[in-house]
Amino acid sequence: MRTTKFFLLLLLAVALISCDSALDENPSGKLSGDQLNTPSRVEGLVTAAYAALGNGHWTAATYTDPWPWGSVRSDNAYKGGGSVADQGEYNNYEQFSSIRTDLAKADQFWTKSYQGISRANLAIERLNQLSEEDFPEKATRLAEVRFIRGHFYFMLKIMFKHVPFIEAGEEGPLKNVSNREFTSQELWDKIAADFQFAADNLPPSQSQPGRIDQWAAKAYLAKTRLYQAYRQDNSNHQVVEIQDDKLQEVVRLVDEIQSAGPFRLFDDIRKNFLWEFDNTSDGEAVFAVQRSRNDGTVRGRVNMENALNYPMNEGFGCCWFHIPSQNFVNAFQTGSDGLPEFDSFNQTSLTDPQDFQQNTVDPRLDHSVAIEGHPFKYDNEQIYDPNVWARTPQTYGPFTSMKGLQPVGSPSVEQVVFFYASSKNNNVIRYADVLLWKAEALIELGREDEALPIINRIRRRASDSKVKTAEGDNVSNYNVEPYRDGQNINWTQENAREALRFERRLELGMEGWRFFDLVRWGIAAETLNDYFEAEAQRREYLQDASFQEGRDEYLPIPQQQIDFSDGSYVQNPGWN
Amino acid sequence: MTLQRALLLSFALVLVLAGPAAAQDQHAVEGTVTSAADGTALPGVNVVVKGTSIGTTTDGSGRYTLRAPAPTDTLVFSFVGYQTREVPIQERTSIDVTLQSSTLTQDEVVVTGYQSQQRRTLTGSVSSVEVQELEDDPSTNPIKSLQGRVAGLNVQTTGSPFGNATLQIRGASTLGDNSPLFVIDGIPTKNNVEQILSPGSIESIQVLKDAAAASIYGSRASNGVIVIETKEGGEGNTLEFSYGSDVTFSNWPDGRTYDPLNTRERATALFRAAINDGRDPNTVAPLYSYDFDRRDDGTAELNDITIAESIGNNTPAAVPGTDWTEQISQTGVVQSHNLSARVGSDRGSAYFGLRFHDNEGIIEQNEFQRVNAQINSSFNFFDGRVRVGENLTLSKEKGVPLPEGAGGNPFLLSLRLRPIIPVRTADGAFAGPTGAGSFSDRDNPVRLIEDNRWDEINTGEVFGNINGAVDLTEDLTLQGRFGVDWERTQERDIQQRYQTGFLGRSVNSVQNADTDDFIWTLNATAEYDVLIGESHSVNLLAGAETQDQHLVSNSSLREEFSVQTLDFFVENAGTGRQLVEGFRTDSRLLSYFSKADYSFQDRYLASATIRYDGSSRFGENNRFGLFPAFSLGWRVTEESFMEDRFAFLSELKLRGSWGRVGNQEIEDFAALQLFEPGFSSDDVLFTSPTSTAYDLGGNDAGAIPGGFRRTQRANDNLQWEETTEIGIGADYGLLDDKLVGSIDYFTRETTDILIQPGFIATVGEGGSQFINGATVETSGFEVQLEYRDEIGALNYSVSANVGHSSDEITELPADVVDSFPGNSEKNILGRSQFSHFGFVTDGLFRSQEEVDNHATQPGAAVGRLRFEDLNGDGRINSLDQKYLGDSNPDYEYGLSTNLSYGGLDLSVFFQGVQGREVNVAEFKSFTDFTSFFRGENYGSRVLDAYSPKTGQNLDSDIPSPTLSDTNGELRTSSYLIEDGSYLKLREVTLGYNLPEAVTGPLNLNRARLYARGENLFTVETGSDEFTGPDPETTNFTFPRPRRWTFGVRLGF
Repeated sequence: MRTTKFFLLLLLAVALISCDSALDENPSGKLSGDQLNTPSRVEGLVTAAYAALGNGHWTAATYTDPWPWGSVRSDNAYKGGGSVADQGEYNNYEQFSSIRTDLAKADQFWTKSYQGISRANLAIERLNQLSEEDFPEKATRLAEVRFIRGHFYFMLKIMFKHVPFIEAGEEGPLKNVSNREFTSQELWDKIAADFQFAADNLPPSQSQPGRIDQWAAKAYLAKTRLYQAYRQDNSNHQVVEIQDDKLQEVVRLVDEIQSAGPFRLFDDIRKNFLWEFDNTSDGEAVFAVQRSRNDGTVRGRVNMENALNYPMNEGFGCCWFHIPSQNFVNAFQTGSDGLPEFDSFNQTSLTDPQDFQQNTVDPRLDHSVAIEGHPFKYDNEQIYDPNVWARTPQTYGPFTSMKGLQPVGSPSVEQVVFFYASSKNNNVIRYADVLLWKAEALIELGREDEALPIINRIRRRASDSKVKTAEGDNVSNYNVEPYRDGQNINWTQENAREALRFERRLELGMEGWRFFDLVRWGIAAETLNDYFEAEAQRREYLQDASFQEGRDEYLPIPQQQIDFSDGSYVQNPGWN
Repeated sequence: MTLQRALLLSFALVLVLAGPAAAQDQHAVEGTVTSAADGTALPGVNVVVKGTSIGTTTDGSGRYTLRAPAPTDTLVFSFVGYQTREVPIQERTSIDVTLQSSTLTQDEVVVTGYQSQQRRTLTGSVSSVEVQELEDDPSTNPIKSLQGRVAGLNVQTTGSPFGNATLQIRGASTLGDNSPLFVIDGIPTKNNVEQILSPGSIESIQVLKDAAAASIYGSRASNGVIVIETKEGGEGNTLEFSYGSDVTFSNWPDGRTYDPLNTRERATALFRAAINDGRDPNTVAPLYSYDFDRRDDGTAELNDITIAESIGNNTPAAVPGTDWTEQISQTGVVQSHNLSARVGSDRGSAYFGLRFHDNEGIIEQNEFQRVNAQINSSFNFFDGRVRVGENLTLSKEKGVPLPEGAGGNPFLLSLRLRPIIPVRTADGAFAGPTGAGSFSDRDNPVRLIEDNRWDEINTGEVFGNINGAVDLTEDLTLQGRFGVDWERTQERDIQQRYQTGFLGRSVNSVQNADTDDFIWTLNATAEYDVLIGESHSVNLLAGAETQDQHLVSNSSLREEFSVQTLDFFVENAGTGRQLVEGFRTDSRLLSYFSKADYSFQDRYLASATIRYDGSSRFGENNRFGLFPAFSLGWRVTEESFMEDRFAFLSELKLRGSWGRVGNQEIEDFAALQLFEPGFSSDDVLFTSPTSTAYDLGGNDAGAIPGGFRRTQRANDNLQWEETTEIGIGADYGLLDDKLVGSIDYFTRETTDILIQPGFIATVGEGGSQFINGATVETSGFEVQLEYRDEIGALNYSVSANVGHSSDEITELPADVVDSFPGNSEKNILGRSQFSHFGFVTDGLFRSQEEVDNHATQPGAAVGRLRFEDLNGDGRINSLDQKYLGDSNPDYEYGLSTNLSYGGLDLSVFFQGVQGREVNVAEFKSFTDFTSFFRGENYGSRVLDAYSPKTGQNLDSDIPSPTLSDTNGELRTSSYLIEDGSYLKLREVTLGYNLPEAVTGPLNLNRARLYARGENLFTVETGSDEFTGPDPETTNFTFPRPRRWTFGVRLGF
């Protein structure tokens, strides 16, 4: 009965592999949670938290280059693209009048931001389990990831006002953590605490330029305190108080950065917008998200946040979003005194090539906006022609944005299938911005005289930043002068405030912060409704746009998240 | 592990109970077997001496000879599709037999898992498929043709030549994977191996529907089991060949295409959109210029449209327009050739089948070829007491997949790309969207097809087993089986350089991917039959099984090839960037099972099954699950009291069962908290990256560091999902089995359902977690009946089946409820998982007054959809939603009739579903909605839309065209939910079997010619009009083509 034996053996074989360990399998190419406890692996969590900063995307999570949220929603830019329906939700946000609480893009921004926060929190959790002896960099790394967490909370805060603050290692169901656990001011303090911790624990400089240093933390802390200073009431977002102690902290922090930090203004503003000047030591970048290509990843760690914004000419190819408004272009007009036309700038429109010769303008225009007949990104071989480069000029006008884009043929540009994206770092904070915060704080503190030289320093650099034709002539008819008290302006607090606000628009326009500035100052409703009224005459698609004061300063808390929270989230006013 | 021991012990007990075999005398018998219907000889009929393994098969002219052990023995004649007959020899030496054709007869042998049984002794719910009807089906995938054939089996499929089918048995009892387990030649698989089987080599298909029938497969049987056996060799001394060949032509079904606008129609629609929005049409349409009169009230009349002569980039405007669908379509041609041989001798037998299948789809270049071979053999020794055999399915497949370009596959692009773009520019290059034309980033589908012609998917598959069985005694059989399920897939994706309009690619590349999926299975069983006295019959089965799966995948990408030819696109020839990717995963199963069947005088039947299963996918504490089942049967017609009073009842069996089965269809390592490097995200074009890599060194290039990202949260308590099912049923035969059928009712409860629910965003990245959460209850019924009779020489049969199932989620953890459709006030509990949830529309706003009087609705305007304020709070928001039906059909049915007259046969088959609400958002975004994105094209229904300001279609219920959908009209609403019920004439086959007068001289024993039509017409049977082209394949799913097949089958 040999066959019987065979079958008995077969059965035995099956029985033998029956011990429980037969079912033990280990994941391949992955680590289970309990394997993540050595310093080098925890370093991996820190790196991943940095990488979260680079994971923004044009679909909504533009959290390091917030062009749709801070620029398109302001008087600086239109959505652009193939039509108003192209990425149509951005159109709802741009026009304010048809925003629903369940639109997907706000939810994506929210979700992606908390993904970044969770990377930081996982790193904090594991870092706390390591000892200083095992991992001497512990304090530095903790400071770095708390900075990163602070960045994501800051962005959530300016978008949604009331957001849940999740700490590392938080126990229990997170849906019970309400977005109203803290008041708005307390939430600012929580965010400031992350930057304060980072400022206290980071070295002045790091051996790896991509790592965050003490100065970035101090600058972000200053930015947080500046926003916090303008205290809003809870029911309709009106600015009810400007807190001097916060402003004084801004001044103190910027003073420290100025006296001990390594920054200077570039001699020409263009260096901020060209890849070649990334990571220039003693340059202007205070906090920049690092970008790279040919780096071992499939598509490179290029900036996908503005990948939709390239024009339609050969060498780029798609999709012409984030288009400068006519109002924005007009704002660069200067009078014969070389100063902005605060009240009358929008009465005449500069559109045709000759308009930029017959009127005088601030040179920063040619760094920000592509204009017919002018070189695109300083390249005199690439003359901007709206008939080819623009996609829907009938709807959105003839201009194209330039600051975030790199020139045609730049070695930093990667073709991602058929979109273009570059490895130019995203400047989240640059030195000019920091200086203007200080000027702003000084003005609100009634120390406008101290603000004057700061603003003029920015203006002098603007004057030094002329864009030239191949023949060496100015591309436009430039005229920009500093403010001279008693000569071309009476430097009162009120005038200084107006000058500062205008200066921020000219210096930082199209960099994604304008809307948040307007909300901070408490002038969003009045500014935007005035803008819509005039601009709808030029761009008729804006005819239904209107900003509802007390509601539109912040996005609605995404309905999807309110539903998940089982009611522990409270919707923002005006959205119920 | 005491239970494991107990099972092994019971197994050993079965061994001990074995008795000795007895010696026998010999008696020779011969004869001919013919069909009762037409008197033709039946080759291949099994003739077996009852109670032994001695037997043979009839030859080409229906003749058999065999030596029975004794002249008092009984012969059993069985043949697929015919009623089995038992004929006592009664010392005769010549016995001619006629067989009646059948489907649901009680004598049919049913393979139920690790063993076969006669239908009469079954106590679970099992449907057999008439495999003969599949033989003429030219489908790539034989399982597709089960649609409508089996009550309670739902098959969903599309018209793609690659043709995957989604199967559900008795509806959806769980929330994830509802596909059944396949058991092919005794080896369980979830790998879609059934798709590579050639229809001609399938001997039988059984659908095990209830838990009692399926529970022997315990852990993976919760969605039912489909058991497929491939053909065995002939018995006795046989040698036969058969050859079959068919060719099929397919086209888009009439009236079931999408009908996009042409250039001028599109310009007209855009004009209406602009006017209704109060915009100047000439500011929104770069290539059209409109001559129109506008009146003070905002209305306008169009006089003329001038269309630009060029769209830029040296590209003439196409007027009346490019019909992109026509440009990419072709008549699909499918050819297949089948050759098979059956051989048999005293010591063994073999079956060889070879099939070549060439399938060209109705979209150009989309095609594949497959060669598959079936090699089955078995040998017996010691008078058949020891049997050794193998089953082997080999398949090699090569196909060109549908390419994906900017904007999707060519089919989608052909609908979406604007007709004003010509196929080629003035100098003959491929044209594409231009910047000046305000086009969207959509590829030219003709270019896409052309450039992707070298793409390829190559799949090789080996599925088979070696098996052995030994009858230790007449009553005790041991069996072992070692199976292999190996699939290797190689994909090549070549991207060529191109520039069409503003879309282009400056870097060419080749990507090769290689996936190797290897599963081995080992099982062993002991089966013991015992007769206690005259009346009590017991069958015991015990066994063990283990399965191990390894899945490994690698891919490489290389860029920059200086020469663009197929031969040059190999990695070494590239000069640019190179990237590799790969992954691996493993899982294991280990199971013990035992089954006992008891019958008393074939009248009272009882069966019990128990299976103990372990899976590596679960947490260490919960790896094993126990799955028992019990069932009872009562053959009422065997009772003496039935004989006189209910003579019209030829068969009545009542069945009842209770059983529990499991489900483990989740990812490997589902219980662990997992981190992965996730260094690189490749699909960053349209989705946000998730990379962990960051240029800390600030060098802009070079090797940058990466880290770890969480991909899953842990759940130490993760365990089996369980389905408990109660079923009752009856099998009946009336009027001498002219009318046969079955009726079944079932109710199921699935608990601890394995789900990976959505979660609140603050949990962060990798927050997903597998949990045992939900409970789902399913219930339903199935009725199957068939009537067959003859009128003179005309044989006919009519059969019908209908199945109903409804599902309901009865329990969900609080954390999970929110990831199903619902809002903060209403949730899915008590409803089908396939429920739609949304707003209710109440027609269109037709005046500003109506807008003003309505609740606050962001985006409300004349011509827009009006959403009902369900809760009456004066504003339209997420609380104004309700449940709007579900997509699970109320009824699914099939109707067929077969006629045969002499050598002619005709079969007609209808299939339908009733009561199925589908969401047609995708389709209506193409034909109705209206957010007139200027880059794209739309369906012609746009021209029927309400257009108050230009004076068209004032009664239309289609919202007016608009430039921007600020009203959110694509949100789920009753406007988008439609009744997708249909009845389709699935197939008509006309066949002719040439008479022996013709075949005889040619030495053929069979010659058949046939013609067949498929999907000939569709009746929409819904309660409202369906707006998509096909209620079966809604939205942009590849529609099922109409097909015509011509074929021939020869037997030698």
